[in-house]
Amino acid sequence: MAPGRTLVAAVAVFLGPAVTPSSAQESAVYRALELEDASRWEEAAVLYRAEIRGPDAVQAAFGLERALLTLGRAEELEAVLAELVRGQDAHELIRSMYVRTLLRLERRTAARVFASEWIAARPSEPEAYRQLYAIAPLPAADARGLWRRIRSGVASDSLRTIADELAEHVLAAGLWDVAREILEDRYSRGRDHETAGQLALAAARAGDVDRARRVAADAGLPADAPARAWLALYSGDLAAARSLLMRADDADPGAIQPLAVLSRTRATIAPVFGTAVLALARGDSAGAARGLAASAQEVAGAESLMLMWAARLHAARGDEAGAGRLYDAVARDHPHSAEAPEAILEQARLLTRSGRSEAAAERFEHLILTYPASAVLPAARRELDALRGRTPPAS
Amino acid sequence: MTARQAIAVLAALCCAATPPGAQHLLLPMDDAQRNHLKAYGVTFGALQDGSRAEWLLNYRGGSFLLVDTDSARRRAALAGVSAEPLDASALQAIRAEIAASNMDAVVLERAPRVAIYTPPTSQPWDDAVTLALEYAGIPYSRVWDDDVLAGALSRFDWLHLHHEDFTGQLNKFHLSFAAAQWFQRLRHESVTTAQRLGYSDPPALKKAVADAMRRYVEQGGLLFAMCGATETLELAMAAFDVDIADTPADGTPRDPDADARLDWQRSFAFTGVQLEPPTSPGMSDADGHHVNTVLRRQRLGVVSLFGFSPKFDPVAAMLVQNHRSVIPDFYGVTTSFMRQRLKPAVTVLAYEEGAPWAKYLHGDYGRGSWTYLGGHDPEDPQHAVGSAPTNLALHANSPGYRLILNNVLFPAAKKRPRKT
Repeated sequence: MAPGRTLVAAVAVFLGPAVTPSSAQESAVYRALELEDASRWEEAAVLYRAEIRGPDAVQAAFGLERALLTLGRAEELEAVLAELVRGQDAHELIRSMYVRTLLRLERRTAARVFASEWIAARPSEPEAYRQLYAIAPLPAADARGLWRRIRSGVASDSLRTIADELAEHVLAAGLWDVAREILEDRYSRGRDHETAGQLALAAARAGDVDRARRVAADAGLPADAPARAWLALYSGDLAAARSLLMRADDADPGAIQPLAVLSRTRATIAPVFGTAVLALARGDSAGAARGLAASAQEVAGAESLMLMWAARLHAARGDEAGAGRLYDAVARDHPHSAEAPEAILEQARLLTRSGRSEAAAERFEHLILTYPASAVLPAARRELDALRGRTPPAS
Repeated sequence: MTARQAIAVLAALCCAATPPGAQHLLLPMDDAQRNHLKAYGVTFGALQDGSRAEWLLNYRGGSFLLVDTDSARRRAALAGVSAEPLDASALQAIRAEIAASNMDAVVLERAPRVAIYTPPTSQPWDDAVTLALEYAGIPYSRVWDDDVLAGALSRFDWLHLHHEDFTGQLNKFHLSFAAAQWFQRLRHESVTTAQRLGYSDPPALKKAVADAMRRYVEQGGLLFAMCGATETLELAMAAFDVDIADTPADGTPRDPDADARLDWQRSFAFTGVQLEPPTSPGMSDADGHHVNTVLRRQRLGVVSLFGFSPKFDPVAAMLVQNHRSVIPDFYGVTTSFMRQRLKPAVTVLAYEEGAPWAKYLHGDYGRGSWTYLGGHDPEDPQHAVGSAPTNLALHANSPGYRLILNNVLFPAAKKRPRKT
């Protein structure tokens, strides 16, 4: 089966009988598909466009989208779709296609306005919300306003789906206050472990650790619930966090650094470290960096790892001076640590960026000569060559 | 840790890794080598330090033997060059193997003084040789028309020419790029340089420069040319008293009897070459591939390196040392050399099996010698005007670039009586 036909068949199955090609119009859509197979996109577009207001409007719209985008005529597609979505009965797939087309044309504001109008007109249609989230992460105020409109205006049979998807969106965006509000509502309607775990984490990351602990205790979260591990870590109870994080049943990439620290230290209590990790979860990378550096002495055995973690946070914020001080500390005070080569590489990079070529070259050479088995050596040699003008500048 | 401490750590590491009694470092040049190109730089650096080295021809891809010093170890470590410490018994075993096989050891006694003929405004990335020298960390001086005419070549052991057009016609790029800004600028620079040095036009200037280079080789200099410089140098030398430049270059048409009047006694490699017509982007029928003439362009094949006996032909053997015996071909303004246009005494170092052309040539002239390698960039086979420069960090084991670097080190070899 040709790719175009496969797509139409898939759409037909997805939409069910309501939009299966009618026998009267089938020949026109399939004729257009044949034209697509022959790469006769111009003629296919004409045929699809002729069918776009008929009973097979969705298939015709998908075909028109393929044809016009292949021909590089996204503006024309937008004009056709704009006319279609003006009608109240436009199918949600065509509305979604319109949002997609606006984004392709980099008309983000128009896409956002359209999605908002769509939600206002059809508040119980989950697809409208999905399209709004796809445009860009919602600011906190917008997310909170949307949640309140959902609570008051969405039919109960769609409420769970729409509320859950908004919760996912705000959790991913780190909007802990809004997430907490949504999850409190869900928790009040049914006390399942998943909701309790999410609520506990949202509450902690929103700054209410007491509420988080109460939810975790009330719900009787099992040992492999990630929320228990994180709450133990935030409170600095490394002994509990160590065993709970390793048992936690999700693969949160945010757990990698804490696990690395826990695997290098025998410390059991480290409250400053816990506070720093919580600050990081709350999006306060400056506070987290300060906390991690300050707590390095709490976690004997993992000092250099902590300092490098803090340095990377400084660097990610553009605070090169702050990062540089910590790279210096690792290179100077922990020369036998696994982090030392990376710290020296970063020192050299900082010096390169600040135009201190000789000092940078000295650092690169020191790294290459002192740590000949380090994995960062190829990068160091490559950058030393570039610094000395032995390879062309990156284009 | 201070730099002094770092050196102490390095020295300790070196000692720990050194077998008792190690006196030499072997830079293997077979597939065990991590960075073939920088191995030439490490060897060159040892010579610069005043140390002697040996080139073990045909032994593990043409390995280098250095005296084991802190400086040599440090240089190899920084460059990422694989180095194997050898004690006396290991070295003795290698020497025995060399004596019993088609191999030889050539002493490298001093770092050659290297000159690159290149415009003052050019970037190192414009030329495969400067790319290789920069990457390997081999120092060189730039010379241009003023220096050559002032006799500066006598200060150098080795002269490299890249894609200069010694016929003074700027590679006939006026046929395709007449309106391009870069070409206009090039033409302007070419004309003003000729005028500044007292020549009527660029072809007259380039003929004088080519003749100075001919005399440099005649008096014992070593010349290496690539790409269009090979073919146009030959044409310019043979055309010393003949106008072979077309109207766009000097304002007059070429001599109608130019082909018959060319004096091939003055050239190094070619004889009986016929010029291409003014409308053709090619220069002559010496090039086999005609990359810029669409209907005559030949496809790229693979190039085989000729295997020479180091004991009998040490110079030719040095020039083809490699860890590969077959390498992919690559285009240039001049890509290859038609065998039927070569003088009988020319040594073919590399060729395409079954093709009427050769890729890599060597020969003597007077007291010096010359080497020609067709093509522009061994790691950019289709190189076009405006192509991004090659980053040799991505081609540290390039067999094609090794051919270039063989030429840089061979002038370091101690001369000895020829056996053939």
